[in-house]
Amino acid sequence: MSSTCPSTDDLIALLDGEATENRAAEIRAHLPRCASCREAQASLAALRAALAAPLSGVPDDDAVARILQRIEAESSDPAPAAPAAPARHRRALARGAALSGALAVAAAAVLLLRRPVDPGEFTARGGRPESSGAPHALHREVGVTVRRGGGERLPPLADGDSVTGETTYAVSYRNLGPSGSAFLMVFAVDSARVVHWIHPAYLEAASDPTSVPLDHAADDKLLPAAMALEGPAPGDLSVVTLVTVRPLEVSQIEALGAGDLEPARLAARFAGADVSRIALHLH
Amino acid sequence: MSKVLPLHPVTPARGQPLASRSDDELMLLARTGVAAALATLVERYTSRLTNYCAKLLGSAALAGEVCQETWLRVWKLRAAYRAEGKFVVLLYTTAHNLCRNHARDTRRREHWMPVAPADDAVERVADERPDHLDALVAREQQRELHRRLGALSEPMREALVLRFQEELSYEDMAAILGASESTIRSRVHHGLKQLRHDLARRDDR
Repeated sequence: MSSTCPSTDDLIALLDGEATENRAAEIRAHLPRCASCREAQASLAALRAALAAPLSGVPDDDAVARILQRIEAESSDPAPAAPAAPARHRRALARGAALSGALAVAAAAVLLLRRPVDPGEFTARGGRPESSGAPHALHREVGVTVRRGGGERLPPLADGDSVTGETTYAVSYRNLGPSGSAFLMVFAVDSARVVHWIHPAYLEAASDPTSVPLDHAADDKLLPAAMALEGPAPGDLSVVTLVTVRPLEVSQIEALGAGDLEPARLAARFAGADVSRIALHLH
Repeated sequence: MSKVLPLHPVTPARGQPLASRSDDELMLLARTGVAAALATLVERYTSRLTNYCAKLLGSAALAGEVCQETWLRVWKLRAAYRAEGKFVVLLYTTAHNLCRNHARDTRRREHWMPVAPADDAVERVADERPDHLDALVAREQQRELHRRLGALSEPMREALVLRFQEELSYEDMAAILGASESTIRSRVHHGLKQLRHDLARRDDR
């Protein structure tokens, strides 16, 4: 090695892609003329390759299956009881419980304001009486808002709003009940009575996705993606939100006739469900 | 059928099979109940993630446990996940923290062992064919490298594996390791020099 040779730091920077363009060009010009530097460069490159190489037998063949099984098992477990949570979380839960009365009123207000048809249609449709206990009083605990997607503000959609075939739909919710106590489906029915799925995403015909489990959310919480409808027919477009105490499958809705997709019929069919509809016009 | 789009307008990816979709899209789909989306993510990363954990912990068995726990935590965090192109940071930060907890709790650094599998019956046979001998030499070299890797400080080891196995950017590594990019760049360079020095010294003996 001579005084003009790059340092080990230079060679490492080149190997690591961290050398400046000028310095990298100088080193590359030097290497063909210097066996010592070429050897040093080759040994560093071999070391990098060895560090990158996967370990023999890691992971074993069943690793992915075991991970998915574990997640499935944990997902089907009931939510952990409050005493299992760290103290910090217990305090947060206690505060949430103290506020829940006020928040329930607020959520119910959101739901009622959004209701598009005669509220009388929704008052006694199979839901348990309020006195039967909070866990299944979905209309008091869950508020769902359908929004116009694709912009920064995501404004709520309301009865009479106009949309186009390019409109995307975002959905937010509040759930004053515990996580996993309510499940949501949102779909649109166009003027040709074709159902277009918004949530859950229904991407592959061979699949049969289930309702989206709602986490506990005292504040409005967005579901993570906006959805576009595929070739909706122009004319009246209803967006239906269906909140249930148990998960439903897409096929259970797809199997219904057009008349059964009316909110009152859906609520009668799925005990305890809370159903809402927004009447839009698609140009 | 439906089409999934980002909440806010970025480049949408329509009509692609799950395996071609981005990490962000798969996480969003997993949240909306598409179980196959999670499976695709697990398949995409489990080999790399387990190797990362094994190289940090020096135990393939422990790496498998930590990898499982990592995925479970990522699954539980799905509701809070923000689709900002940083899934890999979430995944490796979670794994990194779990590895550190294991190393601290059980003082495994003192018991760090190279993770290449132990000699088996086939190797004990006196097979002197050249290709077999070459394979044994390569394996011994690999085992020695991991022995030396295990002797490095934990921050250096983490930085080297994330940089050269995972090929992560210094920006992502800084987010995962909780240190500045310049600090991590220094750990990578010093770690590589130290490893090269240790291996050369062994060869001189």
